[in-house]
Amino acid sequence: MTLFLKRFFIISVVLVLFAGIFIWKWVFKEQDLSVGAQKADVTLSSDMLVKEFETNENSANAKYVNKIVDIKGTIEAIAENDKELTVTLKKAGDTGGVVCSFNKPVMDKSLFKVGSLISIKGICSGYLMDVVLNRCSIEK
Amino acid sequence: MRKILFLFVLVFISSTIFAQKYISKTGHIWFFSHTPLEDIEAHNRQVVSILDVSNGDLAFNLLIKSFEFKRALMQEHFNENYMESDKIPKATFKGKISNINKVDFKKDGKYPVDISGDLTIHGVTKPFSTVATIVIKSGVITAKSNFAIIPKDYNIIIPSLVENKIAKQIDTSVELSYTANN
Repeated sequence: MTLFLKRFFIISVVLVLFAGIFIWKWVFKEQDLSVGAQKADVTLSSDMLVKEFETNENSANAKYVNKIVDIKGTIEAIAENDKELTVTLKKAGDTGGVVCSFNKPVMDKSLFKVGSLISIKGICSGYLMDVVLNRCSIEK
Repeated sequence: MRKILFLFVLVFISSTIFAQKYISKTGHIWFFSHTPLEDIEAHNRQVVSILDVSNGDLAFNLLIKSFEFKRALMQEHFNENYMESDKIPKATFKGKISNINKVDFKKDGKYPVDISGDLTIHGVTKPFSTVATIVIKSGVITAKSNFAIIPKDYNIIIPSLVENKIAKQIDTSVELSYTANN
């Protein structure tokens, strides 16, 4: 009987510990703010998006800002700071590109390679020198 | 022929001399509003800035929608109710560093500079001046500044219901590093 109690005690301690670790991880996990699972409103190539903003910023603002945009393009540059990873998609020869911001540490820099083709989904914030997409995620 | 060659060389030399524009596309601007009831903080890491080191011309451009808050609801109120970012998507600054000649861009060091120009927020343009620090370290130019923005000055109306939760002066900071733009 004492052996049974002892085993019961050890097993319950282990179970509580596991449950604790699980809850801890769940509560304190890094928040993923990316658009992730949400469906894109528009899908197009990065240079087409840039062209629309370059020709008429106001109409492009009305059409794309606050929308989830899925773009396909070539990676021109990768930069990072303490909180964000920015990937610039640009067609060779174009002046403007699309700047896509990923929240760290959810996104890993090694997932990107300069010169490779990629699809990225994010919320369009507008146009400065480049079109800006925030809270991005990689589209498979 | 010699004349043409001379002209060509001249153009080439002058273009290298005058290519003194520096650019930053991932500048960081953040603000902090402190009241006994609530602390609010938002960050924007996509500030575009151009600095011409030959004459001190300085320009900033940023999207209001790129400010990120801790709480999504705050961000929504900021965009929709206060900044009306659908109608007025950008804030800009156009001005000059008046004592740019005091900065030796080839020598490492910390240089205090005076900035003045026009600041446009929420569609309202006001003269604006502040001080900043330019730091040169092994060829990299970084700049920092702190200043206060008074929302009322830019016709940003804060409803009396939340008046006590938002500071009358918003403490704002900018930090960015420039790279040569050729």
